[in-house]
Amino acid sequence: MDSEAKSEIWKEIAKYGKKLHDKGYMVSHSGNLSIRGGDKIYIKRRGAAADEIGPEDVIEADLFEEDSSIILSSTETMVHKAVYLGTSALAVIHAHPPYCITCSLIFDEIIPMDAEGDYVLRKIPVLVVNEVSGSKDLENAVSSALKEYKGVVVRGHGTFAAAKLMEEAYHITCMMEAASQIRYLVHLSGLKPKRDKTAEFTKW
Amino acid sequence: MAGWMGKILDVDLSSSKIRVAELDEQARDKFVGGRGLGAKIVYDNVQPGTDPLSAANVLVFSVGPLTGTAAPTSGRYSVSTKSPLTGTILDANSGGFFGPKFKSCGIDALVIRGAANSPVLISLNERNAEILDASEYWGKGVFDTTTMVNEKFGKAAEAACIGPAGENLVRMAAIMNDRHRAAARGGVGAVMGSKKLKAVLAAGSMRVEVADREKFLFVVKESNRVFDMHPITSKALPRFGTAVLVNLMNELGLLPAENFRSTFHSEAENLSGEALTKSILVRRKGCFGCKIQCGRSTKVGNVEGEGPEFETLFALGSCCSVWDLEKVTLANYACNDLGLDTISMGVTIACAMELSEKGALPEKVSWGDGDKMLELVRKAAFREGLGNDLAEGSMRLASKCGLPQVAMHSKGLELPAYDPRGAKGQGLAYATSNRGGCHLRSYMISLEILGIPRRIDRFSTTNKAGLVISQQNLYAGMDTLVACRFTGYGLDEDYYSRMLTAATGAAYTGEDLMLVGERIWNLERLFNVREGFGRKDDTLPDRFLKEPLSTGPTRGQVVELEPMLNEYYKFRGWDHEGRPTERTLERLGLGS
Repeated sequence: MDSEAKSEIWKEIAKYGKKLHDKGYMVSHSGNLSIRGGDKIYIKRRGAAADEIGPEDVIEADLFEEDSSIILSSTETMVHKAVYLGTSALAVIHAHPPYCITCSLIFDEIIPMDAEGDYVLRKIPVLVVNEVSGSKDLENAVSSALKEYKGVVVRGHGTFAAAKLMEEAYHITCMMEAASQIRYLVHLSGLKPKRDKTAEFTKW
Repeated sequence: MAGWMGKILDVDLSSSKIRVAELDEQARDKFVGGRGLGAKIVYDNVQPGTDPLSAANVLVFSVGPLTGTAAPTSGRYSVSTKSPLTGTILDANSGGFFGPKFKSCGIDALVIRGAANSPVLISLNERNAEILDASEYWGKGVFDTTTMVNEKFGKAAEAACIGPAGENLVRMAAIMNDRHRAAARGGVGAVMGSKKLKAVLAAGSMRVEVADREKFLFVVKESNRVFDMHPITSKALPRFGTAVLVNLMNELGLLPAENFRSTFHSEAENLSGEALTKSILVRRKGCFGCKIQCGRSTKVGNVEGEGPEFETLFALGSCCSVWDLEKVTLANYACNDLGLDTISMGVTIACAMELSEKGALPEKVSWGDGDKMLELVRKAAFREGLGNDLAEGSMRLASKCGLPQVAMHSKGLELPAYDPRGAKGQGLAYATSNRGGCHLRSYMISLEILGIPRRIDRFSTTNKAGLVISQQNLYAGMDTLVACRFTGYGLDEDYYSRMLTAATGAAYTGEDLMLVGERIWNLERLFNVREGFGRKDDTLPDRFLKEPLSTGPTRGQVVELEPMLNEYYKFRGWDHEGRPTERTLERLGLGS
């Protein structure tokens, strides 16, 4: 990939890193996002501030082989790679949206209650893994679940969204958080909702 | 297993032998149905170097596990063969009502080998298959053939037939059903004609079983809900048909005019969906199991027919600078009756117009001459005069006239209605398409123009390869079902795989379906590599690579193909010449 193309990829990652940070889905330096380009992935550097991703904060890593980029790339790089190898995704976002994490601590799966949420997501699986950060368990669980769902939440940890475009992965992340927020607020109200597709979409 | 009928009918027209075989489980699991099953059969049965119009070629009709069920757009069937127009592997599919009738005969595929000595038709139902004399239909147009067949065999029989173009081995001949529906591209009709096969009649009445009815109907209901909510499937296509694209493509500088020499024209409005709706629309029409209803019943004077679709409005309209909607519509009706692919026919006539302008054609064919265009359509179907050269397609026509660069094709297949200088990913899609220049292998217009699911920079080449590949794999997966491409405006692999799972009882994820698509794509590539195709053929006419447009919204642009192609090969796991590597074939279960 030539330098112009790499620059375009950096701009894309920086743009969505900033958006995710500003919405509070990536807190300070946490979370990571990546784009696949052929046999490479381009991923946020470990410890880079999500709202200030510079050209040197995007690390190129070989998708198929381990390489020395591991010294700089995100803790979750192997999870991103596993998703690319296991699915047809071209962009992945791992974020820490608060309502998603909250719901993952309460529910075994998150079924959106709003029309937009069920239209886009249908169901958000909650994954339970022993080691929630950078583990083989996490790689397997996330890449496997993303074969069937657009986004998943790892209990007590955060979301993974996979898509063909970074913008789409961002959209899925936002939708997961909005759907979780609505479900949590309904839950908090203690009232019986007059529209609830939980029973239907459990089988999705 | 539910969804499939479990049988393949094998008909040898040379020996008149008919054999029923079990559907091979391994082939079913790896290639599912439709295009996938067709590609597998063609790959295994057509030797390298086979003349596509010889008895040694095979023609495969196939359906998928969703065909004839309640799944949206489950009325389609697929036809696979080696193309007489391109020499590549080929599949074309068509909507209407033939697909379910075919499947109700209790088969997933019909393999036709050899060639008859005199015109025949194959008549199918759930109890029997017969080869019958078809002399009385030979020479008739599609409309008369359909009427006569219905009179003789009853209206319950659905016919897929050829017109005079197929009989006369016109390299762009289509197979037609429901009078106006076409498996159009690449000359499938000529292969049928070379076998002296006028029609396949299907009059089955078997039910298609689904494994988990409750779950299946739930996913179908949710899919239909998506169509109801999506503006393209609920508003744009039903209201204006595919012609809804004319104004948009023109405004963005993508609608090719004058054989792709310009892409923006003030008279395009004459061919728009709005104009069509106001002037010639009689009613909307839909295929079996489709609620989108993009079809148009139309009327010009006393003549009634269907269409034109967007691609036809481009090919017989803007590309030839014929801005008269009625003349384009009449030429469309003629193509349907004669059994011609409107895209290849129109683009070949546009090529002739440019050749004529450059003094390279012995006959005068002027831009915008709709009457001449109509005359040439008929002459091509019967191979009369200049029509004999047009019947060979634009690549052979332009080469014969000494100006090969005037033919707007990729691998010999005439390009469709989107100038790739205005959507560069679409350029890569054309160049890498296994059946030649085509928008249905990867429709980057959805991303680059329509913003589905999100809009991307249409002039950028960065990371387009991955997106093209993703669509190619998805569409190949969809073609195993055989789902209409327009469902893809709302549905993704997740919905298709859930319908497939519920229908068959076999567990498929969206990624499984993508993998099936990738396997098909690579098998098709292997066929083409075996025929001598490679990097040199994955290209576009110089017009798109070297000649920027001087006016309109796309001015100054050319397609920077090479970097995208390099990335494409790398992404696919192919070598520099575009051959799948052993590692890739192993991963896909295609290794030796």
